Amino acid sequence: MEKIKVTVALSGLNNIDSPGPGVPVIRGLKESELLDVRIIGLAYENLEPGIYMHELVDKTYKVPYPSDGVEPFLDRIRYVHEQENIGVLIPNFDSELFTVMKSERILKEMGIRVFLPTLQQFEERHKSNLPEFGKKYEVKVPYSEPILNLQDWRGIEEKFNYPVVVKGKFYDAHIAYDREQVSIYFNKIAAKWGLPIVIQEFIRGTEVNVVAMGDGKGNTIGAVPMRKTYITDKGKAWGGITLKDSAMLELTDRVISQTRWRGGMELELIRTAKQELYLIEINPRLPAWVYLAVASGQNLPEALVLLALGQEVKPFDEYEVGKLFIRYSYDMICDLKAFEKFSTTGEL
Amino acid sequence: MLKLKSNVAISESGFVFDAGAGDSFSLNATGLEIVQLIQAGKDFPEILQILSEKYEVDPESFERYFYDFVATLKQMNLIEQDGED
Repeated sequence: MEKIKVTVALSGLNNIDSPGPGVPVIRGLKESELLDVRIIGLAYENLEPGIYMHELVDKTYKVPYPSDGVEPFLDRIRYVHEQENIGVLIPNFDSELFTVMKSERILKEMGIRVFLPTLQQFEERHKSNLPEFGKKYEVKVPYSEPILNLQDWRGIEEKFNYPVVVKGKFYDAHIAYDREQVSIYFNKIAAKWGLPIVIQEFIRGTEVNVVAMGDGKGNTIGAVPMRKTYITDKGKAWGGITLKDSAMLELTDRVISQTRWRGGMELELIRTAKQELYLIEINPRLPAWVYLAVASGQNLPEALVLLALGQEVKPFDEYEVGKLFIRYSYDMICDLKAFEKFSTTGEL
Repeated sequence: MLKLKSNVAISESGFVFDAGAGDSFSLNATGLEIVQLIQAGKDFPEILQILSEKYEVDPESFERYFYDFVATLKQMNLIEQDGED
């Protein structure tokens, strides 16, 4: 069968110690037997490693930060599209999703497809809305409340027992054992990611995760559960292993079917000693460890592009249990000319 | 009767993998032999008999070592909760 030729533009090329999902998503797409992809990287910083990984990324363009607003972003995408004829756009950062979702109609008119959660799905799974989400979809979630300042925390402090988890809107989470630590982490996270900060009940147990894909009609296209076996000081997985866990898969199916989730997602769960599963977060995109799912038999990045193209995708019904990933760092040697070209022209 | 969890796989080399938790352990040759006997559905008197024929060990010491070992297996969540001896 002839492969479908498609140009995919994506972000998340920061394959650093706390990596974005771009490079793993590209690896899945490059290994696809159904797609013949040309990869266009979208980078924010001059030193994102993916820019210089020419065996994976055909060309990279620098793009403005989402915080600069929708218009500068769309102008840049319009320019890239004129040069490259983008077929599918995959935003790999949480912070980009809102901008791209808001622009879905305009992108479609330009001929660029995306396959993302709806604005409603995106909003209701927000960390600050998790208690309502849990109630609505009958999923166990830790008690949490958003705060805008430390005065707010003093007002609700008695509803919690220490330790508590202090979380950023998009990224970052720290366990705080007293009011002083809450104050330290509040300031640290707010300075980096803005407000609100979410204070979450601390659930003792083992963190387990699921990477999954919903077709937007309530069907699970694929789902692979994993446990991080080695965690960095930033809380990122250095190693992980696929699990055989029907309860995690049932929970994923329930969330996807009830929300009619559209696109990739990562469920962050805590399994307690009593084997109860608590949903602590839904990330509305494929995670950086998605290549483990590809290697276990579920090429979810490929499914994402096929769904974006309006193709019928048969759900995956199996994956290899006990498949491991181990991250490693590697010093890529680059020519100064390449760095110069990207930093001055914004293209490489 | 003791029963290993259905998610637990044991290889000939003594490598134990709990597919539900993602944990792995290594058994020495004696540990592997005992776990294989548990897996085969043998109870304590049968395991005692088999290993006494093979090794020089007095029943009292073996019983103590055996239950210490089983306690470790339970602590590692490798034994079914209702699979009490």
